[in-house]
Amino acid sequence: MVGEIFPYLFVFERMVFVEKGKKDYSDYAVVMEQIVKKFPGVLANDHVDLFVKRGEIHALVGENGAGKTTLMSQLYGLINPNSGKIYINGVETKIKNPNDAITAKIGMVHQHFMLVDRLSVVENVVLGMEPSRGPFFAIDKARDQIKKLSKRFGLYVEPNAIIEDLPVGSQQRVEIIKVLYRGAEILVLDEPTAVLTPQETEELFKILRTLKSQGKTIIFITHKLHEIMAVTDSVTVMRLGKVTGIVKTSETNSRELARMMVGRDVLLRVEKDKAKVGTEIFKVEDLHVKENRGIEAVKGVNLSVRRGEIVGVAGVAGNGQTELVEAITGLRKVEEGHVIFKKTNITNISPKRRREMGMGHIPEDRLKHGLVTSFPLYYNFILGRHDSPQFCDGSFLKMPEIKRSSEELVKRFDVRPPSIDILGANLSGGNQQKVIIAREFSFNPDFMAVAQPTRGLDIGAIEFIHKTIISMRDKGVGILLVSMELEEIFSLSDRILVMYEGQIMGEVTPDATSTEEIGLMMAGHRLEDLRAQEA
Amino acid sequence: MKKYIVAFLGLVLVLGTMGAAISVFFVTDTGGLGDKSFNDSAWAGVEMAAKKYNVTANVIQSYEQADYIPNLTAAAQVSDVVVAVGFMMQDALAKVAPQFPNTKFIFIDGVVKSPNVENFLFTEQEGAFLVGYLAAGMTKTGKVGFVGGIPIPPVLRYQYGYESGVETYNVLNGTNVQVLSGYVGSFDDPASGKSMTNSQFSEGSDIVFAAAGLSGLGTIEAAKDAGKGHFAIGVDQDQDYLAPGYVLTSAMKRVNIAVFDGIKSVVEGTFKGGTITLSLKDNGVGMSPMTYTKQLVPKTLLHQIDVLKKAIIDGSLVVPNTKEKFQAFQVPQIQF
Amino acid sequence: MVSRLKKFYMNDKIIVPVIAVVVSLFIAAIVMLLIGKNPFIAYGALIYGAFGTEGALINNIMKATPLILTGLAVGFGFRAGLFNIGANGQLIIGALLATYVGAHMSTFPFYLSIPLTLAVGMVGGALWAAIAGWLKVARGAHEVITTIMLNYVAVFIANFVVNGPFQAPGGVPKSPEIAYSARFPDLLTTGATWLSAGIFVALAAVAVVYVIIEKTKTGYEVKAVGLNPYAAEYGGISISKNTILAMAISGALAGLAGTMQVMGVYYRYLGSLGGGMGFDGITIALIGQNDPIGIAFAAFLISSIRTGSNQMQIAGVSKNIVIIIQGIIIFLVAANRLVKSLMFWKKGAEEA
Repeated sequence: MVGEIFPYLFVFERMVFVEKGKKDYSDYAVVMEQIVKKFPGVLANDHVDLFVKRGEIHALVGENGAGKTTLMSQLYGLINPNSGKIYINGVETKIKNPNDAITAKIGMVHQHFMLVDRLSVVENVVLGMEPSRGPFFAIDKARDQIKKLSKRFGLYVEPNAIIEDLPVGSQQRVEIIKVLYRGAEILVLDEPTAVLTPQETEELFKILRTLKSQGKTIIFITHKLHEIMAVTDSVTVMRLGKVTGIVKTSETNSRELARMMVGRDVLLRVEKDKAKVGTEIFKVEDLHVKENRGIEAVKGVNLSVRRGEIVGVAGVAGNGQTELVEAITGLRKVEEGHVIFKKTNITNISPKRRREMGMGHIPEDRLKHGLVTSFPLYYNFILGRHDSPQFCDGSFLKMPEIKRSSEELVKRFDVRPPSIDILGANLSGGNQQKVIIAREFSFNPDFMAVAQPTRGLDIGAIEFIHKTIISMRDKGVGILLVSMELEEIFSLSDRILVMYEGQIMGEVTPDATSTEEIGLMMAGHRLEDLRAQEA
Repeated sequence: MKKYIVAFLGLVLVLGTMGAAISVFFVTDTGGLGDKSFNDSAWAGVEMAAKKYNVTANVIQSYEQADYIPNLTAAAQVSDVVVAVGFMMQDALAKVAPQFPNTKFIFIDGVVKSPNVENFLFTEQEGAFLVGYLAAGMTKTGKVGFVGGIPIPPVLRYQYGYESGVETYNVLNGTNVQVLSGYVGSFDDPASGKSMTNSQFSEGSDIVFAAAGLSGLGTIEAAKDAGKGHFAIGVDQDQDYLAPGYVLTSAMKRVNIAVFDGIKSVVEGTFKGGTITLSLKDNGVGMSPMTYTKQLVPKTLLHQIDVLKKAIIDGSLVVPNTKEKFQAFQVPQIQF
Repeated sequence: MVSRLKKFYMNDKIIVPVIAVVVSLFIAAIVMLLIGKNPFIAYGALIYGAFGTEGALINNIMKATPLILTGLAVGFGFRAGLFNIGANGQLIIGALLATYVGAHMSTFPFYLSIPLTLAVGMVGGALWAAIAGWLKVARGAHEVITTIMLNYVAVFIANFVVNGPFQAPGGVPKSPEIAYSARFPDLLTTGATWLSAGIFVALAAVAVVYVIIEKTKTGYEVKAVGLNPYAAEYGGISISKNTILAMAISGALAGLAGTMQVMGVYYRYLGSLGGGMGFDGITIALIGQNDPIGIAFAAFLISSIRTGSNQMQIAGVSKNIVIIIQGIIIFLVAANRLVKSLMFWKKGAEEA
């Protein structure tokens, strides 16, 4: 109970708060006052206040489901509040739909880009408000304007490039240009860094600072604490639909923010003992794998994993990690090379046999591979082991045992809501991941391929999952961890491999390297070259 | 409560049919009303009788073959006369008729031996012979087609009559017109009828005779789609009006007359059961008057057909009606 | 147990079809009023014709028997993510083989010939469907296309067989009758209609399919493949094996439907024995929401409407009304979101 109240007390001491009596909001680009939004069965926003000063970068943070996106959807007119008021530049403004928002000079960059892949940058930017010359589309006018915007804000993109040829970071820039083109003074960015590499994130931050220096106001939705510390001026923290803190970034730190988000103390970096490394249990030799279009994606990878250690594979998404894991777990054909598990060549055996031999797999895409979302949890908990003697008696499923063991896993892994009858689709992302991890570890594997275990999860769930992975390591399981999150690789791995264009650029240990070194390897530099340069 | 409602409704139905002197129920086959052929023709006969006599006309349409027994039973329970059409109903009627000795049945195209059933058969081969002869005389490609529904005896009679008509033309005029034949497999599938006709057209025929009930409407549509120079030949009723100029003629079978005669015999008390065969002589079968196409046919061909008609009526020409008889068929020497 | 059943069925699965039926009857009543017919008399006749007499009930059950089975066939396919439009063809092949074997059973006692004939009919349907399953697995050919094409092949094979090599004397496209020992016993006879024991086979099939889907490893694997083939593969479940197996089980059920018609109704293969029952199976699976028990109810619903419609015709209302009713039911069930939004709208009104 104290833990529940604590953050509030803590926050109110230092709140940057406008006394409500005065109502002079003229310094504020956006004020949302006492916003209430109800959904059937849920109070998504419970008397939420948001104060964003003109010309600042304001972070809106909170765990998944805290109500951040709901709040911003009301600012952008996608949904309407049940009660509460919105002031733009000190004037009360009714925003009923996105057109009202655009009129009020509010722009939104969504997490999933709203771009037409086959059209060029110019065409996408002007879509819906094409400049014309008589009856004709004046594409050159549009192009000039976009060039001007790019230059002014440091948003470099080639106006004639086709969207699908651009990297994700550039696509995001197109989204931002699109919003600016429509005259936005207030920009809302919904988790903009979720899809970016560290370098691209740095680029984005540079852009945000430029925008700020040119007088734009930015609301930045995220749940990554280091980003808040790096780029924002002030922070509004939400939890369970309520505001739990309003602070200046300069007056707080990650630990404090985490506590406000989760409502208790959080370990930002998981504690672990030194690995007690055992014998080699798994290795791949000169592995070659093709991706779906038939192009080679893994080009001669060698790696090995011993009992009781975590080997991390870092890299920017799309450099062959997905194919590597799929080949290891039997979901993708190996073109050349060997996969060796427990001294047996398993290169061409079925996923089923691999599982029987003691291999586990936490897949990268939990909705595609990890769960049958229309199955209830008790069915999802046995996927892969449904025909083991524990759950299956010849041809009939042992329902009582399945339900008993599912109940136990739900309790042990704190899956919420704690019901084994709920469908996989009705769980939050974090709980879906818990189900998968609970299942895979309950099969008592000797080796586990873990891909992107915390993608899109909030810090509470990340902490839990990291602890689980470490505890499995300590029980002697060999773990291959593939992740795009450098933080995660650093905090979990005992050894780190960096993958670039289907090849391993080098192997390092976390205490004998730096983010910069790994970043360079992720960009295609070989470790031996880097070390040679240093020397 | 339900019991009472059910009893009440039963009563309503019975009372509703008691006022008129004679109540007639017509049970269609799966082709149903609107087939422009067999069922429509029978229904026309029932309505004709209803106009002339103190008779109430009712219809029950059958959705599938399994409905025949229940529909015949239901009809027999509430009526004096049941009209059943179609060879495919023969087995069902044979089971139902003996259960209702007080109800009279008029059955078209098949034979059920029961004292309360009057069966009507037709010499379909005679009408088909004439249209076959006409088709052979009119074809420009030297090939004519035949599309059947299901190869049951009445349809087979159409087929052998048609083929022997073509053969007769070949022998008497020294030509070699070929017949392409095929079966759709059902009487209620115009789409299949159309596709079979189209394939016969593409194999080089230009005139196709359909003896396929509702499925035959597909043949007429195909002829219309194929355009000038292509003809369908209708069946059972005068179907020439369905696509004027594209239906060369129709091989008629006056089911309406049979049904009317049957009802009349009940009204006049002359109903006696057994089997009656209607032929060209009785005007029970024949060719349509060719309202839209007569001017296309050469005078000599029309004359020859008239001569053949007379030969059939006077018995000097016997048209084969089975496979065996067709194989043994010798074209008689006829002087025009 | 009761509360569990209640919980299980008091959801969209049952509410949507029930609302669909009620709404469609209402709309059809309006149509009848517009054409000057009294809907109360018509529906009275419908109920009387479906349930009012012993004969009506027998007809109703006899009609429902194959519909339950084709509904199960299509529904089981749907559960495995397969759209089996070929139930008609599988039914025909099953019926044809069952007839052939049944006709040669005269020297066998009934306790051998009945199960043997049943088994042959099921295997026939299963193999016919497995062709489409195999084509999907080996060549990636979509089952909708292949099963439709196999329907035609089956029809033409059957037409050829009963017009030639296996034709009863008399120049009619029908096979000889099957042996007495291979016929289902009649349970009840009224007038010219009889109730065969086939309904018990159909109900047993409902129970068996329910158990397979809900209680067995096979059901689990088939459902997983149907709902998410990627996750199934990840879980070590063979997509190929289960696709072919699911098609075969679906086909076996359709084959059984045909076999029922042979062993309990016609005692022979008749020209158009299949009718549209394979396609009716799609309707029924849809209304029954692919749940075996729901399918049994849906089959009885359709058979009742059809049986009752004959009596309705006697009351002077065209059979087309029944086709309208059926069409609206299907429309509403397929557009179930529409029905659900109606329900939510009502709920919202209550809250406000």
